[in-house]
Amino acid sequence: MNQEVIKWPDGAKCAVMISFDPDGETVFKGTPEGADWPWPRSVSIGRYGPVRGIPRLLDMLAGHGITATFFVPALTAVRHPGEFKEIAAAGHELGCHGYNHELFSTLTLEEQKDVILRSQAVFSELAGKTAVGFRTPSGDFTRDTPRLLDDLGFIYSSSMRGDDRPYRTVIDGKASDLIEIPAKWELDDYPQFGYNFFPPSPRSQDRIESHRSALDNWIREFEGYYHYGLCYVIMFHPLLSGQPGRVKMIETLIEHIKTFPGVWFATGSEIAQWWRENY
Amino acid sequence: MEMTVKNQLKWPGGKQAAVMITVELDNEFFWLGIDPTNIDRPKTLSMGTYGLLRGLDRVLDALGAYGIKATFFVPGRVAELYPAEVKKVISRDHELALHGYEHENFGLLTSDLQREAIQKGILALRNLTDKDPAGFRLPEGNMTPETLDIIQRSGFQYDSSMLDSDMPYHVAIRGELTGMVEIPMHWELQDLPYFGFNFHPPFPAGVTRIANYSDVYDIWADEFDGYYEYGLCYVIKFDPQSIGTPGRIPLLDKLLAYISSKNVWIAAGSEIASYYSKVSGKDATV
Repeated sequence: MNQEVIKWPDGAKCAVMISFDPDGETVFKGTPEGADWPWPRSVSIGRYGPVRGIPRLLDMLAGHGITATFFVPALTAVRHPGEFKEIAAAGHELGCHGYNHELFSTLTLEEQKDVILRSQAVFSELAGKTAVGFRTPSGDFTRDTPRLLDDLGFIYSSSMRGDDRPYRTVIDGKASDLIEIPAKWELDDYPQFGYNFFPPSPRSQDRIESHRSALDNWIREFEGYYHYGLCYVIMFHPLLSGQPGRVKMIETLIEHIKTFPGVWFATGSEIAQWWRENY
Repeated sequence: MEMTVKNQLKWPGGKQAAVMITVELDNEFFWLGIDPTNIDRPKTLSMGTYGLLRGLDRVLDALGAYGIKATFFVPGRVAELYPAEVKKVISRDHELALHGYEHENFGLLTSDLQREAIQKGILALRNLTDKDPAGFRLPEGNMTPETLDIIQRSGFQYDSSMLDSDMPYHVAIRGELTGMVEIPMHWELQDLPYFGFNFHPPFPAGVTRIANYSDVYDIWADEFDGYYEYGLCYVIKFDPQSIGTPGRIPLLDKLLAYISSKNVWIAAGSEIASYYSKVSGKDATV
């Protein structure tokens, strides 16, 4: 059972979920309460995502007929309602990613609930619908977060790291209807490209990875996921990968994936729904 | 001892170099060893549990494809919590060796706590194999000046923790050569320093980029070429949580194919220690 070959829709060989975390200005915060950094130059790195990255990415995705999943902090939607509505209008899926990109492991369950409900209210007002998927911002959530997500009606989370296929989250010792669609640090552009000069981020101020080197890893992982018939979840941040050369990098990845027959490009809710019905 | 560049030791069967493939099953204890408060960070812990859940079978398949007997260093607590997975390793004829009890940092423990971790670890492995492990490797982290003595007195035939050679040697304690053989390892020849990653709590400590897979393969293969030319003992280590992803397991497969195509003696830790003791004339059990 452990290594069972997964059955995907229409005999597809593997699933691919292209996801974006348009964090915008929320990535740079000076206090746990979420006050902006007093460093406008850094905040401008975040603003680049919605202002320049999102339109370019939406255009590229449309050109390839890809429906993606966007996990948007509600505050970014409030700050950039036009871009947020464009994402929804293009038919992409909207997922919850906190209000101000809060680190959920530092919040009480009551605070987590408040963050999620305030975010859903913004989604409702601006996009006319609420999110059914959740991705924990940045670091960990707490051990009881999955039960909260289930109680609040989410059908999936894409937060964990421990598998390369979806699974039913165990809540109170029982496999629940909350589907986890795990993501990976090695399938995330932030560790490779995130950078700030002062204050230093990452703290090592390591060299910025080359586009080609990052792409090489992502392609190697895709080919492995395809070989085993798994669920490939890749994550991009428009503030980084909305840059012109990197949009072309994502385009190269999509074109490469498309040369493989039987790939099911799906959103989080499509994958979760399939899993609920078949596993 | 006279200085030598080329290895003067002859390997069994006229082989040009020795190779020891080692695997560590740290699972979630890698992350708990870095920061015990990770017990409340399910996402962070899940990077560790991926090792036994998905990575292990892929690693075993790759080793099996080349008929390689590897040495698995297992924390005692992992053997207690995941007996089925560890038994699977034993059933494939790999060697089981000890890797601490809860992957603790020996450099931060008193001598008594080090002895306790080793004794609990030996007991946990003995419960699965009916015999004491022959080998020991420190968990990541460090050691105190007393640690090697403690390891030697715990009855191990060999240790594989030090980084001061590329050949086996007998461990000297207070100036006296003991029978315990050291089979040194190197940070360069493993997977976690290149691939391990987390933002909170940070790993690597400085939060660096994840390395390019092709480059990492080249490091392992280029070092192998050097060991091969000099006729040394190549010791490489992997953890399924790190090498076991769909995109990285081909690196292991390619490396094993390359090494297997050469005139090398691929051996487990106890085989290398026994051979070295025989040649040196110093009984490993003394």
